[in-house]
Amino acid sequence: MLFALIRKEIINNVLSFRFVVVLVLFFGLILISIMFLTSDHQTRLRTHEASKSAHRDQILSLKGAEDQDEQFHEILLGGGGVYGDRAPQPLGIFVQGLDENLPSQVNTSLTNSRKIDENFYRNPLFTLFATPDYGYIVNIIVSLLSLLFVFDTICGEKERGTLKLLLANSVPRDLVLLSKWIGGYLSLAIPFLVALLAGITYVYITGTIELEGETLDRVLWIVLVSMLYVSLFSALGIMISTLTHNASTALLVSLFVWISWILVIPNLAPVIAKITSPVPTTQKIQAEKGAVDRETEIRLQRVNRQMLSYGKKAEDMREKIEQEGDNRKKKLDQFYQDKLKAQIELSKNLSRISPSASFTYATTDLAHTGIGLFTSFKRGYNRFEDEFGTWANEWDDTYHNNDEKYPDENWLQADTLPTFKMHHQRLDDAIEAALMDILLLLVFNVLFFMLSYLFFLRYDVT
Amino acid sequence: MLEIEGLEKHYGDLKAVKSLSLTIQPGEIFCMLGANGAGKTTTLMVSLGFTDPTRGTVKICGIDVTRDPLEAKKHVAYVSENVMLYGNFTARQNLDFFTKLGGVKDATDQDYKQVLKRVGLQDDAFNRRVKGFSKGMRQKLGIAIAIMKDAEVILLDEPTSGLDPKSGAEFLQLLNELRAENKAIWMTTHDIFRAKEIADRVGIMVAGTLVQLLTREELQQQDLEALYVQYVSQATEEAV
Repeated sequence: MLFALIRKEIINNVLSFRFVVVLVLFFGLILISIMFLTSDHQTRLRTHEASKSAHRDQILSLKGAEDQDEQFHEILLGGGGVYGDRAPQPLGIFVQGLDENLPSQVNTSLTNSRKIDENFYRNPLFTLFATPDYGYIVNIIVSLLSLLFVFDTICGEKERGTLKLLLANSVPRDLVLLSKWIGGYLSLAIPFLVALLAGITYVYITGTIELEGETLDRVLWIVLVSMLYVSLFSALGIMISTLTHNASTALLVSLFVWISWILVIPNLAPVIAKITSPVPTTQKIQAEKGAVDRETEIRLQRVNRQMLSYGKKAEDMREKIEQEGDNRKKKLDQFYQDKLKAQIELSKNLSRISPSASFTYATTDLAHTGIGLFTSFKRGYNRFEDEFGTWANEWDDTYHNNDEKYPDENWLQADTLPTFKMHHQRLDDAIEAALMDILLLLVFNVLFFMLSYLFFLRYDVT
Repeated sequence: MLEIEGLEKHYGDLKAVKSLSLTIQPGEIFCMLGANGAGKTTTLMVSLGFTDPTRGTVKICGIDVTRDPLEAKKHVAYVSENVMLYGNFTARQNLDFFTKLGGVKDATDQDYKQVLKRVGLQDDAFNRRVKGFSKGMRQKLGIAIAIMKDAEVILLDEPTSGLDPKSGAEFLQLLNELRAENKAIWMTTHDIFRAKEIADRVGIMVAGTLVQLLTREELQQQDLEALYVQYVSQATEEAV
């Protein structure tokens, strides 16, 4: 009987006009988005390779310079410093996340460090109207289509009069509900998967990214999360249809729920977190650190006035004061980092009320284009700065300790220069990071189905 | 057999059905007359297990509908006033789906064609989508579905409404055949003349109460139309 009910649902759905709309939109949007972003990824890869090569050439040209003064100036004293390049994330083709918004090159030197924000130089409309990636399409469009596909599955049948005829037979209501869910879900999932498969095949044929091993596993996980997300909206739509008695009310309720749950809550969560868990500005922290420096300076001057500027006692005292200043500055940095972390966590947890946020976190974690990428970039950049600082200071000390004479003429080796490297996130770590959100999506699925069941058992079919 | 014993259905203060007791035997056609809101359809809804009675019981072939609705529904077929089927399906697909749902697994296309012919639908209707059917055609298809289920009890909610005279006459002929097959048939209707023509017994329901129950013999002796109008007018005056 369940098979007959599911078959009826699928045939009924497939023969409906809304199925044609869904099919066209799935194919059109998913395929176009993947094709466009594949081409964009190829361009970004070429740019990355060119940039890496240019930066290496720059070092090599300096190495060949006769004037070591120029080498010192360019490398150590901040003329140009050293550059690092960040390759675009391969799975950004599917889920861009933060990939495009993080700098693709970074720069550091002893006296001046700056990140190059290439967004500043490109067409501003690219930022104003970001390309909808697969993640966005599923998050916003597929969720809406899924909801609109099933929002009247029960109440619409009641309105048309077929539900009475159906339940006049010896059919348990739970079977009817299950068939609605399975039938509705399959009618959505199959065209969705076919469209996605077409997109993945295109990526494979172009050879833009290597779709094998861990990358393929990540793609499969993203597909799995997407299926869970689509299923959630099927269950939600069925629940709404068991709470209402006509299609027009169900449509209004569905739109209200979708707008508030998918558009409002995820965007509101960071604002609420900003108000309830404020983070001091970096300028404020810098000002505080400046004040610490000034205080340290005054204390050092006082020591110098009170004691002789040499001698072990004075030296110990100066060292202690400098150490205290450093510690206070470290505490300020830590305070800022803790506050920022707390705000990010609060935003994340608040936004998780919406499955849209859970879907975004899970897919960006799996594609390594989310918060993990941001953290990885920040750590990589800090490490790059630190390593360069240590390396440069060593050479600077060598220069000064050598009676301000230039070191060996072969002192500059491109291979020994610190490079910008980002931590590679393993798939296990990505799954672990996404697990909480995957579980949340699962919980929402079960919850909506259970509620639908409860409501449908008491549903008035007359 | 359909047995209704002390049935009451209240919606808040409104008593939709009051102390209704009635038995419809196999091979009997019972017509229930009554104005809109008299409680006819509510009685049907309770009989189909769609709503629980406030008091009393309804049994189909001895099975209490409230206690075991799924088992009871195996023995009942239902045709509504305005039969609505799956519009994107053909007549065959609708028949096949509801027949399987009714527990008949081995029906063939030949069986479906025969039943469509029996209810007066043309051959070309077999593979046509139901959304293009007229109300009369849908009604006939609904009856075909009920016939395919081969249930002991048939509940008909104003089935002749919207049928043209020829189809109406064919429908009465069909009911006669079903009676001959020993089906217990309950039909609610406003159509006094058809009720008088076909029914073994006629009941008149006013404001939830069965006020009159007439046998075939009594029907021949009394002016059913005058009696019906009298009860309905009386009820309207009391309501005002």
